Amino acid sequence: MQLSRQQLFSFWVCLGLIGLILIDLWPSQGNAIAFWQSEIFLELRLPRVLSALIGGIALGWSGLMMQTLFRNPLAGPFLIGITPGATFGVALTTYLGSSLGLNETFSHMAIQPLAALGGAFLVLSIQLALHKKLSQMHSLLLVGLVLGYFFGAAVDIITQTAQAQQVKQFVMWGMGSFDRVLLRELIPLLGATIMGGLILTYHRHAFNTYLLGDIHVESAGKSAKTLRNWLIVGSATMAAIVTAFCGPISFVGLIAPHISRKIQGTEAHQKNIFTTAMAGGILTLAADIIANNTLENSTLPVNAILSIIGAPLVIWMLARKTG
Amino acid sequence: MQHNKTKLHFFSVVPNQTLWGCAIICTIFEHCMTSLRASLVFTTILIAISMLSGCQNAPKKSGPNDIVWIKNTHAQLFRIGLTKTDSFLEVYDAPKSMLSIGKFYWGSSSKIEGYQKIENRDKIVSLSAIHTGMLAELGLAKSIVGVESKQYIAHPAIYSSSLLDSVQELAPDGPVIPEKLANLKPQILIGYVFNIQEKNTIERIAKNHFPVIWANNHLEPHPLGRAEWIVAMGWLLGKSKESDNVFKGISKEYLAIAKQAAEADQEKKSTTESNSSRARPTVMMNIPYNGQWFVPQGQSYMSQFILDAGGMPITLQPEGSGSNMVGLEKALQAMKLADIWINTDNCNTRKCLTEMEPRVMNIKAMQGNRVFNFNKKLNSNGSNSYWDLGCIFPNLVLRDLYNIIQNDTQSMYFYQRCN
Repeated sequence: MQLSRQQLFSFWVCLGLIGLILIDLWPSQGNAIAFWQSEIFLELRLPRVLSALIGGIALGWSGLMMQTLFRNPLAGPFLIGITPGATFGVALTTYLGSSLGLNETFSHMAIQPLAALGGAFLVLSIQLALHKKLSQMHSLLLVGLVLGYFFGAAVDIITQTAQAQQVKQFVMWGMGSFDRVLLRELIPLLGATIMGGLILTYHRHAFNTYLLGDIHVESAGKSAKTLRNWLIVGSATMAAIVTAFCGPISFVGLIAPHISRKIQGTEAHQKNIFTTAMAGGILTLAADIIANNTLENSTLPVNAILSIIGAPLVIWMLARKTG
Repeated sequence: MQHNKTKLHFFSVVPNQTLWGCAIICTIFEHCMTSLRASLVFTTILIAISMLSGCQNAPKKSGPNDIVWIKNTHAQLFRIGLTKTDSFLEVYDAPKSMLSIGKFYWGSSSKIEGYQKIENRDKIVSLSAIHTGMLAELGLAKSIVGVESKQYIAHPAIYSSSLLDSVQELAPDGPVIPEKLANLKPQILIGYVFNIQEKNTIERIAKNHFPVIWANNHLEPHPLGRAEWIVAMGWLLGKSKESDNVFKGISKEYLAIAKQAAEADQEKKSTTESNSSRARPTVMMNIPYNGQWFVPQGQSYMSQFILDAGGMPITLQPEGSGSNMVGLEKALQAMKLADIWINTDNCNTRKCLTEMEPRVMNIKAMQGNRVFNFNKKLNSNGSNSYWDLGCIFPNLVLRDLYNIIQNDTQSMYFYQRCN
C-alpha cells in the first residue's frame, strides 16, 4: 500500500507526539517503574503531561475555529479578547479578593479558574450580543481588540492597588504553567476539548463552505450566523477553559493550524482537525519538556518557551508565504 | 569588605590621544632627521612630556587619603569612614557587583571632591518600613516627615503614637508621587532601589536640593548584615553611639542563640547514631504561587537563619543568595520529607494551604503538624511586624526559629503554628 505525502507526514507527527508524551512522562532520574508507581507521578507528573497534551489540542482547535471565523490566518484567542477577559477575571479575584472577603484563607485560589472562566464568558457574551448587530466580520475583530485594550487597562488599574504577594501570584499565573493542574481539573478540560472537537467534526464541511464567503453558505441552505455562533462558542469555550486552568498559553492557537495546513496542503477542515490537534499537542508538550528540563534547579515559564519557539516560526511562515 | 581599587597603570593615566600624537610626531621626525642619535633624544623628550601631561590630566583620587574605614561585622553594602575633621558614608548597589551608588560626608570641610555633603538632618523621608523602624529605634521618629505608605509601618514608636498622623504618605498605592516629594522639601531621603525609573525620578527631584541615600540592606545575604544598617543610619544621623549599642546588643544575642543551636546540634549528633545531615531537622520555606515555588538558595539570608537556628534548609542550589523558581513537581520532590515548614506567607492555616494546593498534604511537616508562619504580630493597619522588626532584630527571628526546631513553641515572638 502506497502512503501519500500527507499520510506519511501525519504518521510522523503522530509518532512525534507519542515520543514527546513518553519523554515527558520519563523520570529525570532513578528507576522508571518505581517513579510511575509513586505519588509524585500520579499527582504531579501525570496531570501535568495530560494537561499539556489536552491544552495543546484544545488551543490548536480553538485557533483553527477562530481563523475560520474571521477568515484570517492570524486570528487567535488573544484577538477576540478571550485571554484578556480571563486575565481580568483572575486579576479581579486576586487583587480584590480581600475586599470581597475571599483572601482570608487564600480560598480564592480555588475560585481562580472560575474567575477566569467568568471573564472569558463575559467577553464571549459581549461578542455574541454584538454579533447579532454587526454584519461585518472585521467589526467583530475590532470589538475583540478594543475589549482586549479595555480589560488590559482595567488590569493595570487593579494592579496599582495590589500588594507584593498578590502581584507575585498574578505574574505567576500570567506565565502559564501545566504544573498547577490537578487530576480532577482534567475533566472540564477534557470535556471542553471533546465538545470543541465534536463541533469541528460535525460542521467540518459547512466550515469549508464558510471559508468561501457567506453567500456560498446561504446558497448551500445553511445559516452563516448559526455557523458563526458555533465557531464563537466552540473556540471561546476551549480557550477559556485552558486559560482558566493553565493560565494564558500563547502562540499555540495561532501556529498549530498553520503547521497542519502546511502538512495537509489544504484548508479543508476534515483534513486539518487531526493534524492541528497533533501539532498543538506537540508544541505544548515540547514547551513543557524544555521548561522542566533545561535548568537543573529551576523551571522556565512555559509561555516564554512558546513565544521563543512561536515568534520565529510565525515570521518564517509569513516570509515563506509572501516569498 | 570589598573596596573600589584605583588602577594606576601607565596606560590608564596617559590619555590615548596624547600617546597617539606622540607616536605620530616621533615617526615624522625620525624620518626627517638624519642623525639617529638626535632622533632618539627627541623621542625620549616627547615621551617624557606626554607622560607628564598625562599625569596632569589623570582623574584625581576622590576623597582625602587619610580616611580610616570602620570594619563592618556582617554588612557588605556600606562603609563608614573617619578623618580628623569629617565622617564618610559610602553605599553600594549589591553584593555581587559592589558598584558605588552614593558617597556622602559630613563635618567641617566645606567641599570634598567625589562626596556629597550632608548638612541638615532634621526632616527625613524614609521610603522603606525597615528604615523607618530603624530611625524609630534610634529615637528619630519625630524627624520623619514622609514615608512610602503608612500601611506597612509596624514599629510601635510610630505606629502606636500620634506621630503617624503628621507624616505624609508619598507612595500609598504605587510609585512615589513626585509633586508630593518635591513639596515636602526633605533634608535627606533614605530609600531602596526598587526600580530604575523610580530611582531616576527621585534623583531628579533631589538634585541640588537634598541627598538621597540608597540603602539596599534587603540585599545583604546575612541577617546580621541587614540589621547592621542601623549603624549606618545612626552615624549618618548623629546617633552613632546609640546605633552601635543597639547593634552590639542584637549581634550578641543572635550569636549566643546560634552558639546554643550549634551546641544542641552537637549534643544530638553525639547521642544519636544517625548521620550528621539527618541530625538537623530539615526546614522548607515559602508557598507555591500558581504552580511555581520560590525555593531560597543556599546562601540566602533565610537559609542562613535556619542554619544558625540548628536546622537544615531545603534548597535546590547551594550557592547563590536569591531563590530558584521551580515547578511543583521538582519542589515537592525536594520537600516531601521536610520536618518543618515555615513562612507560609498569606496562609495562616493548614486548611488554607491545602485549598491553595491540595498536593502539599503529603509533605511530612503537614502530617506532623509542624507548619509555622510569621503572623503573630499583625497590626490593625494591615502591617506585619515581622517585615520591619524582624529585619531590625534578627535575634528575635532566630530565637523563634530555634524554638521551632527544638519543638518548644510556647513563647514565640513573630511565629505561630498553622492549625
